[in-house]
Amino acid sequence: MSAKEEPGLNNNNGNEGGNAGEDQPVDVKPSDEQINIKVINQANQEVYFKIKKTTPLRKLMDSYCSRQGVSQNSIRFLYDGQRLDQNATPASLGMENNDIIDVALTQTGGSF
Amino acid sequence: MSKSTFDKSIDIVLNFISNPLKRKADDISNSEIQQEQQPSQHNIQRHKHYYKKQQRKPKQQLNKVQHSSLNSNSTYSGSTPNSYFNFDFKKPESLLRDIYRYSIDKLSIFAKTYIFDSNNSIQNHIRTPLKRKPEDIKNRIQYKLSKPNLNLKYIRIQSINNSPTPNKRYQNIRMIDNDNNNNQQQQQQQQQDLNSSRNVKHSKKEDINSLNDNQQENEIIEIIDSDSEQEENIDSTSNSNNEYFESKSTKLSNIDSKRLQANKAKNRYSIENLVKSYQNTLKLNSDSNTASTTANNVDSSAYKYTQSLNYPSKYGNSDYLNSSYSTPQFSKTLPYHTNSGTKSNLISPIKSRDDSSFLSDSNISSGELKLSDLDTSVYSLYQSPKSTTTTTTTAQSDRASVIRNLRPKVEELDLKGSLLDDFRDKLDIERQKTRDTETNSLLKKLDDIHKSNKYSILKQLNERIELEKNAKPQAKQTTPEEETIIKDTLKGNEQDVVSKIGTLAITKYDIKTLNPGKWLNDEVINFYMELMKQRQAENPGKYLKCHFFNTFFYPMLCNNNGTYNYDRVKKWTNSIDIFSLDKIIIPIHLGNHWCLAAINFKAKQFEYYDSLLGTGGDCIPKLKKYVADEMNNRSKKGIVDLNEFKSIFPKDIPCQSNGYDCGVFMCKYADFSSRGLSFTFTQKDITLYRRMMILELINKKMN
Repeated sequence: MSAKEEPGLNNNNGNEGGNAGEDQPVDVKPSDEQINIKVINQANQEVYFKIKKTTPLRKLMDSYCSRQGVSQNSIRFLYDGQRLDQNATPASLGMENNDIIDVALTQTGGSF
Repeated sequence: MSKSTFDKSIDIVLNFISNPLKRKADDISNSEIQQEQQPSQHNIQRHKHYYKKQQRKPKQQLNKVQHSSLNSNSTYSGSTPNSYFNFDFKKPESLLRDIYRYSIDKLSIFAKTYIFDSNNSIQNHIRTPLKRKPEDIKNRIQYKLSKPNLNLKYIRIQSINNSPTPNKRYQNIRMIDNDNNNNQQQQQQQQQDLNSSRNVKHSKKEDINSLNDNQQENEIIEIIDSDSEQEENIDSTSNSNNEYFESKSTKLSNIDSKRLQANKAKNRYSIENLVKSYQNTLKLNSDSNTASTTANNVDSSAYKYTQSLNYPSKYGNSDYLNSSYSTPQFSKTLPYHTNSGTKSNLISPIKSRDDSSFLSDSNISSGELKLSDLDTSVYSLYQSPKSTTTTTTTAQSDRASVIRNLRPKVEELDLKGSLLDDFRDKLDIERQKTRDTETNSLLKKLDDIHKSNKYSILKQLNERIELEKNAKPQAKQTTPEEETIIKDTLKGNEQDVVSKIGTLAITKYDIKTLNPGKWLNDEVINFYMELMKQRQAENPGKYLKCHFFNTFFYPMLCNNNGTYNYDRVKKWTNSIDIFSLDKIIIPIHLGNHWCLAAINFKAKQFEYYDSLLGTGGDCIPKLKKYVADEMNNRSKKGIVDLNEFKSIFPKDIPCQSNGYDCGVFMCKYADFSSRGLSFTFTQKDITLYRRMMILELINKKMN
């Protein structure tokens, strides 16, 4: 799967965001402070982030957008069907290790 | 007779008639009418039997049979009125019916009148009214026994003795008919009139009767009293020969007994006269066969006419009257009369009255052709009192004027026949007036009854319509103030957040997609779904219990590539139990198109609404699978049976007629669906709905 390659890719650039978000391979055991979060985009590509529980998710979102080269306005981050609040933290949402954040494209429609 | 006595008696008659008329309206809805249905049914059965018998036999023969049955069985003795009649039928009514038949044969409507009254009164007095309203009955009979009645009687006799011309007779009969209480007197008088008019051989007896009349004045009612004393304790249904008198006496037994005793002798005389006159008539009947040929024709009309004559004094007993003396027509309509209680009593008098005037007129003309010369005089007799009586009954409101009209005319009738026509015209007008007023009052009563009926279907319908009106979201024009709010809100940076619910934020850019002609984006729709969630939470019970998924549910369920992946939405329903809800609303995004899917657990169906009438491909099967997986995942296997679920793709829904409104249509489908309403909006409303949605998004409140 191409998804397996991407973590490696992201891992190389992972330190860019400082403590904002860190992409980790799946088998990396996170510390108590950090959890692994899988972001799956509309093309079913998986991106892994390692993030502190108290870090606002805005950093994760910004990081993802910048790395994927997409505008924040063009995608929606969903966690368990709910839109992600930029100020929410994994702790506030009760996220656990290896939880998934879905990325959906904006939708618009009028006819067909 | 002097003018003053004449006036006085007319006054009295009118007085009396006006009383029962007033009471009739009050009693019409009384329950005593229902109690009288049973005897009436009984009578009808007997009558049917009788009528069958009559039909089987040739009419000529029938006449003879009737004649013999009455004549042979009836014996007359001046001293004991109890031994007058030995009639075949065991009920007093049947005797009356016999008489009634004969009188019809001979076109003697007055005999019918008499029967009518007496029968009516028998019923009244034996059955209920005495128990229920003793005061009414007592007053009535006291009135009857009072002096004025005797005056009336006196007037009649005088006229017969002096000039037995039709006009005189007419005058007399009119007054007699008005006096509904003196049934026996009426009967007697009518028979006498008929006899004298025909110049038959029994005129001698009649003369004797009339000679006695002066004495009768003071003695008539005494006999009744003696009867009552003798037979008060006898069961009215016993087989005694005197049943007719029994019932009569039982009726009177409840009245002041002293008064009755004083009047004992009078009744004896009247009864004697009655018998005599009957015997006369019977012989007359057998003599003239021509009359019997038209008997059936006249039968119905005469009957109805009688009903109309006596209507004011009937006390709402039309049910009983109809059935007991029904012609074939009436026996057919019996179920209606007996079963429908108050209403039928209200209606039937009007009907019969209208019919009677029409039928009697037509039958008279036809009858005159057939009848011999001897009988035509009877016809004239028959016609004139009809109109007169009706008028007098009507005159209760304007008594004096009627008297003024009546008296001079009657006197002039002796001289000029043409005046009679004028008189009849006037009477017709009067009768019409009365009919109108009575009809109006009855209609008013019907109206009241209708109003008081709280289970009226119309009422329920109106209530339901009102409810629907309230429930339906109205597409209304936004007010100028609201327009300014919208304008102000949309000014400035497009990325500014306008309103926020939870994690959902809506920006000015998103709101602008609601402008006419724009495509709606997911933010607006999700926000709108969130608003509906909120509305439902704030108004529990007002709306259907729904869950609104957001626009990303379906793409996720489809794994973003048209496949099916339950795991991606597995956790979406962590906080809710979809099986406890009425409906699950799922916006479906198909590339550039919005439609709506709904899982209706209440109606057990999957619904798919597409404003372009598509069927969504494998959307419904996927949703079915989702429900099945959800059941497994939530360990609620078997809570719903998916085999019972239908899939519907309604085609009679409002559709978009352009390339940009599907998002609004979808939102409105969801809105109406969550209210449990059918989709009653149209494309025309969409522009307004767009405006309203902007307001709703800004105010974060759904209408």
